[in-house]
Amino acid sequence: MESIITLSNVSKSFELQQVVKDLSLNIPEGSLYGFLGPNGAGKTTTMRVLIGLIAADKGEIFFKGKNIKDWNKSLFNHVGCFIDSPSYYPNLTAYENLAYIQKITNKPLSEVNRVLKITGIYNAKDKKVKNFSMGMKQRLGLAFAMLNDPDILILDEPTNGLDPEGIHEIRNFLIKLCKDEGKTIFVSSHNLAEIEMMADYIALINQGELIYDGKLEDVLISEEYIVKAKQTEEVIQMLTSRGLEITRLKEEKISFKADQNRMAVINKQMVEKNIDVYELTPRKRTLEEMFLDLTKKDNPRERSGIV
Amino acid sequence: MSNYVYLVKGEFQKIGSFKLMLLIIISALATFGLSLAFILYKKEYIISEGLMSMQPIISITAYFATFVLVIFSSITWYYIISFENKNGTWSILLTKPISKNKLLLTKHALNLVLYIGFNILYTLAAFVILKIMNVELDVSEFLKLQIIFSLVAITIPYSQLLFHLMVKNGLLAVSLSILILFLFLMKDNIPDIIAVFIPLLSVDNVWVDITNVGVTTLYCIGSVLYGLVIFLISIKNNYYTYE
Repeated sequence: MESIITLSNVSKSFELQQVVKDLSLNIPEGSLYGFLGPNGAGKTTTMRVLIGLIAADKGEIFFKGKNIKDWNKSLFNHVGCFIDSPSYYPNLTAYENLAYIQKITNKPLSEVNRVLKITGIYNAKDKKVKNFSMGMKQRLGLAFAMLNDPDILILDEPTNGLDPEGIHEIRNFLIKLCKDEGKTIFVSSHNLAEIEMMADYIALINQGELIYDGKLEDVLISEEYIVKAKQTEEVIQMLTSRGLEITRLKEEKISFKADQNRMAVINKQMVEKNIDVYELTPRKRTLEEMFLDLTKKDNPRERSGIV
Repeated sequence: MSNYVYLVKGEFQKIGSFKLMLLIIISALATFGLSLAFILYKKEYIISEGLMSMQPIISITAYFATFVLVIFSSITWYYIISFENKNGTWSILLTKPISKNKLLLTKHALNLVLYIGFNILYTLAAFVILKIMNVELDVSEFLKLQIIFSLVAITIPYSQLLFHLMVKNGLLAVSLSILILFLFLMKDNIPDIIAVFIPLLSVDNVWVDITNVGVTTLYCIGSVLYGLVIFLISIKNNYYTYE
């Protein structure tokens, strides 16, 4: 897929602290791209730099291959943003808040009702925003981002403060936007399970440095397999004789690590030995396991095979 | 044009129309109360010096209006400019295809509306004081003096704007208005030759030569130019950033 947004060696410091270090990202067009990192990793700063709210010290940002030195008016016709739990005008109603933006940008007011309906706050449109709950404010933030149907949505922790039902609703909504309408969605979150359920691609940063950038499915595949067979001892003997490390799990299951080629040979051997195999599956890592594994080490660059 | 009217109305609503109206009324009432209290307190002295006439009484009300205007404009700029910083709403405005110049013009227009609102009520307050003191009133001369005040006093809100340009923290910018008040109070210690070139003091200086049309015109032009320069700086200077 072609990259719609590219960050090339972007760095940003605040006083003496470098918050983003030589960060390079490629956000494919039409993807739902999860941006992960622990608190203070530099996610929000990266997003602010990306949309030009703050200037990068170094590096370049490309939108559809075009270098963006200054995000001018026309670019924001294509990009909708929700950054850092934005605040609104508390004295205005939800409708008035959105209508104000439409008026100031010379855009149709009919769009206001559309985004209020799809974000589920249409019934509260005449309520002053100062009386909104956190969840409703988050939805209003999404409505702001979605005004005028942008091609790209840049969302910073959009489900913060939402109840489980709201999270589920927003997640499905984002997936639908991406899959059905072909929108590119760049979403940050520290909720790994949520990203795992919706993202196609992920980037993981820690202490401002990129640790992983690529397809979600690639990072979740591990070279670990689980086998459950009737002749457990025979399987253990066969695997240990090949020098493989095994772990006995519950219910006569055994886990072991092997690459795909060795796995094929082992499979064939089990068939030849007439072992009754009930289950043989690759063990899929969770994003949480991968996240903890990648962030626990001090120097992420030392990890082999990653970045 | 109708779009600009809507935008100014929108700015008004964003801050709170009632709040702003109340601010104008309280400021005008404060000017009225302070001026009247001073005149009543010094009534005998004013009469003995032969100052119980329109121009000296207006210069007294203008003196108190100046002080009130310092506080008034610091609060209005707080709501117009620093409110967006405090509220974190720049991120909404700066990530939409909005003309920054249009946005700024709207904010300046709102400030002008509030300033004119204050001046109308202040003029009414001065009129009532003249009536209470039974001072003979020449309406055209009275209005001329009020217009001169409005033109010359424009230096005050635009000086306040400078604080909001320099300091991102709105409350700190408001508290810096104490410097302007201090400058007014210390005016007598500043040599006249220097004081005459400090635009902020024009509103006070103008009453010395109010009968001299040439000098008064110069003060008015100087003050308006001063306001214009700061207005242009405020557009040129990208002060409404997120950082």
